Amino acid sequence: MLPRWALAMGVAGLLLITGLAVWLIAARSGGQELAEFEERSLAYARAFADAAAAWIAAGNQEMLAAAANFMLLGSALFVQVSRDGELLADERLPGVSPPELPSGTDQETARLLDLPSGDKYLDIVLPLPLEEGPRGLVHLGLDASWLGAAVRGRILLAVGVGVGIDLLILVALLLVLRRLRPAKAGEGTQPSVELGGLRIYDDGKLVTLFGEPVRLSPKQFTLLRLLASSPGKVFSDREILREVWPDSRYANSKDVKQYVYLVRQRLGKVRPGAEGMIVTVPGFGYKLIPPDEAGLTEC
Amino acid sequence: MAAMVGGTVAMAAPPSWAAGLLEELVWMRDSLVEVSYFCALAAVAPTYRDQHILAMRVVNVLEGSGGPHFDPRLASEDMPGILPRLEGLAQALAQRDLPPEDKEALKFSLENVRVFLSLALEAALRGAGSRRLVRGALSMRQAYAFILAALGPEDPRLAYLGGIRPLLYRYGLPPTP
Repeated sequence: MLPRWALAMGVAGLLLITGLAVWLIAARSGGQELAEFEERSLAYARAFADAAAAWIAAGNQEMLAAAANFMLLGSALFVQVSRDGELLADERLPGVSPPELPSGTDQETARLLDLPSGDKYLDIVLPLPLEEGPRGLVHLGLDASWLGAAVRGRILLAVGVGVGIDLLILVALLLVLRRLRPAKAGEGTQPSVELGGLRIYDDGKLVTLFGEPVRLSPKQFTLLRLLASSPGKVFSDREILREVWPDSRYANSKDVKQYVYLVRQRLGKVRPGAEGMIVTVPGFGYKLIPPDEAGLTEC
Repeated sequence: MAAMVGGTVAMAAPPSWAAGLLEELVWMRDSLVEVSYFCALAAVAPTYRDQHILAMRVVNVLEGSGGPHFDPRLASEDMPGILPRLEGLAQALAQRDLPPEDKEALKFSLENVRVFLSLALEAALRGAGSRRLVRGALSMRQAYAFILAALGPEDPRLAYLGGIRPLLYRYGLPPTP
């Protein structure tokens, strides 16, 4: 059996590995979420820029302003469209002041920046795809504060799942230990009866056959213990009834027969052939013979 | 079929009876172009919230203020709705005494536009109700495709199922704004 300290280390290691795995998964999915958000935001800004260029070319400033304003209903914090240094549309939520628009750029940029509140937003600048005339820019600020909350939520979920898995493993370990414990209890103590490979421990109410525990009910234990008290002696049904069912007026030979059958079955489960250790002596009763006499030897 | 709607008919001055019709068709074309923009934006929306708002905008423009799904929070004014106006136009044309060839072409084309727009509305409603961004984007792409089908091709020779733009071409107006 494992010593306690090794078991504790194992459990601690398990918890640590699970925690690390959960953390890694959560952190990685957070990065992935940000990348997907950036990608979609750029596509969103490009679609707006395409439409804005068409509206500007058609002289439809009203639609440009209306579309920019409509975006504020979603995650846009501000929408600016400039051409030749002049702002053609400048829609923003109250209290939001966008950073100064770069004077001229041909490249798309997307940066995660901080709001004064501490929340994050995605600052996107991209050129207007105008076919002729002076160059223009689209400047968008998209709220990314939900990203932090989503990642925190995912981490919490992952931690919850991890802890749940740990608990399941711990419960499984405890159950295994509980099953192993009786055999261990027998190892350190002196058996009350030792008959070859058969050992009976009165204190722990434990029976082992060649070191393997034999699972018995209290009545079955008492029956085996009685037979083992005098190996080879034939116990009559009356003697067995008196010892195993001392308070029952209704127990009879059928019960004895039934319990002998069950004890044989339990012994046979541990070692095939061990059923023969309880011998029926027709007309007299039952006796227990040592395992070697029943043809059983330690493996 | 294309010839019936406008394929072989060269751009010419519109007939006198078509003045009101053309006004309606121009309004529909401009509204559909606007709707296609919102559909496209919803298909690439960065968040679920943006997608929902944009999809509902499409629903609003298609259904109008009297529609069962109209969301007044996303409209600053009453909206006539493309579908109700289209149905009104089709009914008015059916009662008018028009040259048979025109009447047939208009009936065929406007019925197809109505079906495409109904499908676009269904897809936009799916997009607006979707709890997943990717699935919602798929619905909005479908809505976008149906809107373009309702607009019809710019080249009238390809207008097998008609559309607003081929009708404009048929009656001598430019198919693009």
